[in-house]
Amino acid sequence: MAQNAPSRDRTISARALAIAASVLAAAAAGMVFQIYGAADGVGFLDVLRSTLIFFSTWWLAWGAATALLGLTARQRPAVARIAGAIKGRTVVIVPVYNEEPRITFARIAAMDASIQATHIAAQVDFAVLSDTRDDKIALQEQHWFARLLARQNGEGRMFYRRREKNTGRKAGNIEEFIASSGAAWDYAVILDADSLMEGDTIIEMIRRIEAAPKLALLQTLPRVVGATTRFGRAMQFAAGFHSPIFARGLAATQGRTGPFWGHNAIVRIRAWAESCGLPELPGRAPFGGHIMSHDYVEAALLARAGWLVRLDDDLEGSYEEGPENIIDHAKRDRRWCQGNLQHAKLLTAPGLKPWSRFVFVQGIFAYIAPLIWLAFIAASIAAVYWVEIPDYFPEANWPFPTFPNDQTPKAIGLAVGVFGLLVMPKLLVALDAIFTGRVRGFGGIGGSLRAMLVELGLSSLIAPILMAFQSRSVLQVLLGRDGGWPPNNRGDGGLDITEAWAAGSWISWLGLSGLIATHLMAPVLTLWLLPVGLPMVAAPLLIWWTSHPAGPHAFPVPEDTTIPPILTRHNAVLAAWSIAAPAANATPLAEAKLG
Amino acid sequence: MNVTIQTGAKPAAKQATLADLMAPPRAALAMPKQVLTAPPGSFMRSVRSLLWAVAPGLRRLG
Repeated sequence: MAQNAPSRDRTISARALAIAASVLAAAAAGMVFQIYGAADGVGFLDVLRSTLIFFSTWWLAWGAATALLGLTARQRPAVARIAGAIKGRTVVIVPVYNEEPRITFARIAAMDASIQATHIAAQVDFAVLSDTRDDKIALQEQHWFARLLARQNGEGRMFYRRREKNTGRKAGNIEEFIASSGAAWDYAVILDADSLMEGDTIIEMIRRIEAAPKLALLQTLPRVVGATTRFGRAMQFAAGFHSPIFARGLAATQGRTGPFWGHNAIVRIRAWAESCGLPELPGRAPFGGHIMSHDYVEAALLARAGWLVRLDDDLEGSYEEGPENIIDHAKRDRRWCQGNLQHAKLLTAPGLKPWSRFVFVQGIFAYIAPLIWLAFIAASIAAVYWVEIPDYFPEANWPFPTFPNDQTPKAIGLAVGVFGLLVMPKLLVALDAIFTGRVRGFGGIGGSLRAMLVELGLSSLIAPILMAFQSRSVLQVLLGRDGGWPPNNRGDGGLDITEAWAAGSWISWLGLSGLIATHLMAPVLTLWLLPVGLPMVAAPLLIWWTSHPAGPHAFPVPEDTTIPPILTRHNAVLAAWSIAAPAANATPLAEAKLG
Repeated sequence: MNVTIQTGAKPAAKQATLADLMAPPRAALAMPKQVLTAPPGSFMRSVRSLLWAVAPGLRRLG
């Protein structure tokens, strides 16, 4: 029988298993470290390090537990869908903010054509909601919108409006549209400027939300496409290969409360209007002001009002783009960091579902975890520096030395355990992909394993760099610095060495200083810290090298061999629009005939 | 007598821009601002509600 809501029993079991497993793993790691550290007597630094290990391990184990839940989640019963005529009216919302208009509007043309190609009678309109601040880009937007209208014969069903002030950023942009025009439609497909969705997928989402009156939001799992650089391709491979399993695990624990990632989702407009009017938080940015990571909050508010928020990971044909280099990744991450830390103010918001609060905690933890590791490293250096020299002859007049209890095996066991929590989920996902045949799209067994190992090596190399960027972001937010809302770069991502040096030289100096300090204060730890310190020293080189094009066969993904129809359509529109480039000073209305 | 009536320059009609023509329909919908700030003392209530979220599952495991 078709089911619209995840079973409460299964959700509770999944949550209990994930919490119990992760807390047990963390407690075990903390205890092992306490025994190791207490071999020469219990000191403050031992207790501190055991506590830090507890929290760090809990976070790693939480990720591993999510993956295991995703791997073991049973096939969900088919969800209800309207098979006959679609009654509801839908608007596809495309918020834009200083994006390249030609590419963005070509995406809309492709999606509109794809919807029409389904030959399903449904009212699906488009609304471009511009928050663009640059007048030149805004003029271009009007020009390309005219071209879009002419090409798709879109008058009366394609709309464009630009706000004078971008109050509330993306969330405020959507809110203003819903408040002023929302009653004209029943459902809204919310996209990002880089989103692409197949027409079939959009129609299927409408069928599903129409069949479930309590369903307020249906999220798809977008696949990353279009990456060309080493960094972008590696992230694209990792997202395509691992994310479906992690997302299924996440959905198992979130149950009826999410997740919502802010785009590539359909919402019931009435529910959205009733529940998702976001207030300004008291105080100044970064903790006060407009809510930055609004998607988590909107999912929590819908759940608070009794609506169902659901991830349908079986829906194919949903795409987005990812950052092409480490700097763009760090810029986006800075925004997410501030948004997630801002959720600390919402932990006590009245009436939220307890799990929604826990989702906020997870989001906060994702950004403070690197600082916990850094604190552990610093405490370990300090502990070695201040260690007391063992007294080999504690008893007077006794000629034979007493050696301290050797706890090295415990330390090695702990390190192996932590490494296992990092790597084991990925290996299990690979095994699952082999047994289910999913590896075919990722270069077969050999190709996918090779890509996975290279990605693992590359992500290990850049992890200390990302940790440095994340730690800086957290400290900036805690010091009250607002990161603003920088527009996304969507170019080819290539950086020259001077750009890489400007962005990453501080990490080099930090890594070098850390290694020298360690060598002076605790030489026995120098070797242990090289895997962290050396990539930091080489940060500019790594940032530069990973921003360059990957080889043609590096990090294969299914979309390389079977190009999704919506991408083909998008490329065709772009090609057509490249041939007849607009005159820079042409008026939009005059050009509407061009198509 | 010829009288010339001088009129002010006729105001140029504002040229409709594409944005005017293609603006979304006006169909307002009430979107009340949600309450997200907690009254004093709610922190402990949140902690308790978090514990309650986990308790049924832990009982089941036990």
